[in-house]
Amino acid sequence: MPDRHGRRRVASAAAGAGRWFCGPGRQARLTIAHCLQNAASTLFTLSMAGSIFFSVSPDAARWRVLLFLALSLAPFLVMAPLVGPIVDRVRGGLPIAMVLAFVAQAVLAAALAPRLRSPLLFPLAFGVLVAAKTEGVAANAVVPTVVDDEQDLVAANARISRSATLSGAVAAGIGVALYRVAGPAATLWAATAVYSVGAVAAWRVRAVAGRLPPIDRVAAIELVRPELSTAVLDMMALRAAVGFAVFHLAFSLRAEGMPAWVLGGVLAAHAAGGFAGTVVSPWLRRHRSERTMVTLALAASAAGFALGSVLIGPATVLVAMLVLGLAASVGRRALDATIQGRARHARRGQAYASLETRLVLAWVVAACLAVAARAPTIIGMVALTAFLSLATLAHLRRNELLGTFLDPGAEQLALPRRLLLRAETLAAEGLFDEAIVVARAAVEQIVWPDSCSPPADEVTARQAIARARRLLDDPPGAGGTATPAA
Amino acid sequence: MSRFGRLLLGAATLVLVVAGCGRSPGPSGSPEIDGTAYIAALRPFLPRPASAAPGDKRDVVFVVPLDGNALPLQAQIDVVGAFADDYDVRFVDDMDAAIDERGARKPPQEGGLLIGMGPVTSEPPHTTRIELYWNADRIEGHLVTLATTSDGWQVTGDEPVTPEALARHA
Repeated sequence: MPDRHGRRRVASAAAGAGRWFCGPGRQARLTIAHCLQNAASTLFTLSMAGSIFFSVSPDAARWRVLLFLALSLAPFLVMAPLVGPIVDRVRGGLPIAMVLAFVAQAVLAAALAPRLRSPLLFPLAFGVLVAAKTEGVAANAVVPTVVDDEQDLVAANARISRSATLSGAVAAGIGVALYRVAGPAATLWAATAVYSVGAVAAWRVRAVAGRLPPIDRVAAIELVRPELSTAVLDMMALRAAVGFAVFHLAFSLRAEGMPAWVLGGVLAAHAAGGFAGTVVSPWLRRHRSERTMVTLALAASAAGFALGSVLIGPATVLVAMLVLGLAASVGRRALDATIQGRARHARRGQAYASLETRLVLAWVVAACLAVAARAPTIIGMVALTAFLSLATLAHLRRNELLGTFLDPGAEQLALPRRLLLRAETLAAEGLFDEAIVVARAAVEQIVWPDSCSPPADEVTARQAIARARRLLDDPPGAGGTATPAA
Repeated sequence: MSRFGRLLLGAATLVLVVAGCGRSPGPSGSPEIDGTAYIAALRPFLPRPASAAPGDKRDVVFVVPLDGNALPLQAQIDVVGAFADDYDVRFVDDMDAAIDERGARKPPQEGGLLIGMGPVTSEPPHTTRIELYWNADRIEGHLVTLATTSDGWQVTGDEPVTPEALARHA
């Protein structure tokens, strides 16, 4: 029988494992809710193996799938701009959106369970897909409100993603056994039960999630900053590649007579790559910049599909999907790190939700293209190789321009020229007051080139920014303590 | 996303929806021929079901269109549902999707039977061509005549013919 110290050690180890899985403090409830979402989605996907989709011909199903994929765009195009601001203004609005998404999935899955072999499969299954994407957008937008230290955003997102993937893996094991013993309908009923528990878990997130501030002017400016817009474009390319690959392979592998387990393997490989990404990303981030992480992610996924195109076969398709899952996960961590480091205001509220919505739209549009294309597996693999290669080249080109724009140095553009470029960019965005101030600074640098006397390094820059922030928050003459002198 | 971007995406969605709705999913000229006609035409050619216990693997039957046009989705669902107790019926777009190319004499995958099926003609006499493929050396062709009775569609004639589409492909 263990002594008191032994029991304490066991309790301490259990608490440590709980923290590792769920995260500290307020993050735990959100992590649990998102883990339940992933587990239920895995059970739902498994149950689809017993649906009519794998009995009817791909050509007959193609237009129905395309129709409902296109319809699934509507909530993100129409609902997000209209309902988003209302959701943000209500305290706990996003957790409520999560609850509604869970309830919708539970109801639709329950309605689908006895209709897996009917034409109602398509509207019901795509309803679940839309609700799942909505839950994903809402959950991701909630993360910044449950992170105590703003510098923990990347780690929190990585932890939630890792725990959700592990939950999905456990659910896959249980789901396969359940499917074999009791069939697809029972697996779908199990998914319904988990969605219902998820709704309760999401309801408990309300108590810990803060209210989201609407997009303010600063966040809007941050969203169009070249560093951030470049990172978002790169991530959109990766998400689009994922959407295209999943739906292309779902149809082309079936059309080529591959059994359902190969498609299951494709989805499992993608999930395994995503999990590997959550493990590799922290190490990569310690040794490489965010931009290099994205370069590696894009180049690796292009290489994966190039390999799959040259040596086409189930094994190489699985490898390509594994690498794409890894790349999308690493890219996501890099985007989070960019937002955390360079866009303080954009990581909150609607700004973050609008980024998420763009990523979902890229996924859906690419999925529509894949279904409409009606291409054999090899053609899709080559198309993905070309797309990801072009995305890599475009990323490198933007990096080069960013380097010119952002990195000071003897071989780079002189400061007045960079200020002028910045002023032109601001004017093009309609931010005329800032454009005038920056243009005046450019003139000042041309007339008095030695006026920037302090060393132009990061420490000095941060000190200058901090001083400006103090002055802004507590202006002289407003009863504050800050002085303009430094 | 800019307003223009939203409008563009909205327009693209509308185009896709209209395209999805507008496409005629079945062969032209046979709108009144529903799934029950195809069920009646197929039934005589299915192998005798193994007297398996519930949960055992069912015989796999692949169905491929002989004219290259997939049957309407609802007709496919009707056929799959009608034989679901005894057979795992899978519609494929192309014969290659059902054939085990590495097997001796290229049999259908999973030890199944491949049935090629043409459209049921919309004008009487309602006929359809059926071709049965066990392997590259054993292929049969039938011209089946159907008629509607008070019990629904019934096979009223079965004339052996030389297999063409599947034989040419094999």
